[in-house]
Amino acid sequence: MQWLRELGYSQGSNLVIEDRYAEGRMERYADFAAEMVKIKADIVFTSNPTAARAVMAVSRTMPIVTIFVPDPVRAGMAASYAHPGGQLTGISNLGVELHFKQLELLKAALPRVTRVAFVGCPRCILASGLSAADVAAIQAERTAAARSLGMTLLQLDVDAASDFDAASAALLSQRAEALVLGSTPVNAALRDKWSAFAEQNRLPTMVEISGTGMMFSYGASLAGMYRRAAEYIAKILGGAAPGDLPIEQPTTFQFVINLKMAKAMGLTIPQSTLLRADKVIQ
Amino acid sequence: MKRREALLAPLAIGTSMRAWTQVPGRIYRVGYLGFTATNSPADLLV
Repeated sequence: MQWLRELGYSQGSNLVIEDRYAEGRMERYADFAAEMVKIKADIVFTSNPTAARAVMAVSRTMPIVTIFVPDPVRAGMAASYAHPGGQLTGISNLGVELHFKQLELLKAALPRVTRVAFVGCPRCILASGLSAADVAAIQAERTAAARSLGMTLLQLDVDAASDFDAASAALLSQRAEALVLGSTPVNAALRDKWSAFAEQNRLPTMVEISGTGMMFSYGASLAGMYRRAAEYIAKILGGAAPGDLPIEQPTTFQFVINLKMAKAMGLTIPQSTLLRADKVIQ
Repeated sequence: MKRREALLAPLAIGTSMRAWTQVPGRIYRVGYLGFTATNSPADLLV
């Protein structure tokens, strides 16, 4: 909330933050959304499309600023990027383009890897408003992206925390050599489990957000997105209509390599790849 | 690998948005719906 403070909104003065966390149970967002209406929140900031959709389900007027929405127009949350037109604005992410880049960096870091698993949450995507056909199209695009890099992609669904055991067993039985974790509410709640699993099974893992204990991360700067989100929030609190504020896509990305972890697994990362990283953890 | 995506330029938010105005004395209530409490904006930024 440091950015909001810089924009003139601070807790204890003129701001109250009502934060709620799904902790892997995204069905909780419906209750949280209803609560936001009940307490008459001026605006809701969400970190994911599932939460944003939950708010839209209970109020068609409450302003929403969101980050990490892969395709808000396709999901019917906004009329267009330039002029969302409704109650939602914020920062989208790159979706499959991001996964392509993550796979490309994995390949550069570990050239011998050919079998990569992607762990996603189709239920989360459906909950954001996309259709089953959209989910299938996204998965097909992801598979094609991997194939173009000479990789075979195994796509595993973790729609709830209870799917973890089956997914981790499948990863081993299908001999995945590396793992890409999608940024989903469920994977976020399973972060410690995934981290321990990756370490125990010497499985190089790529995630979107750095600082989560994985070997690689590539994604938009989270701090940058939160800063931008604070600016949206301040504008809307000051009277701007969310539908008039264009939805942005992130412009700054960070590639982080945990070299210490790679060495512990006996892996050598090419110097050329290390040079591409914004940060190398020794 | 910090880079600027030229293709995204048309999407850049207009910086000439009308001035923000706070109502003196008003308490603003902002909801935040996140993944996990260990990955909150407060954790990241404070």
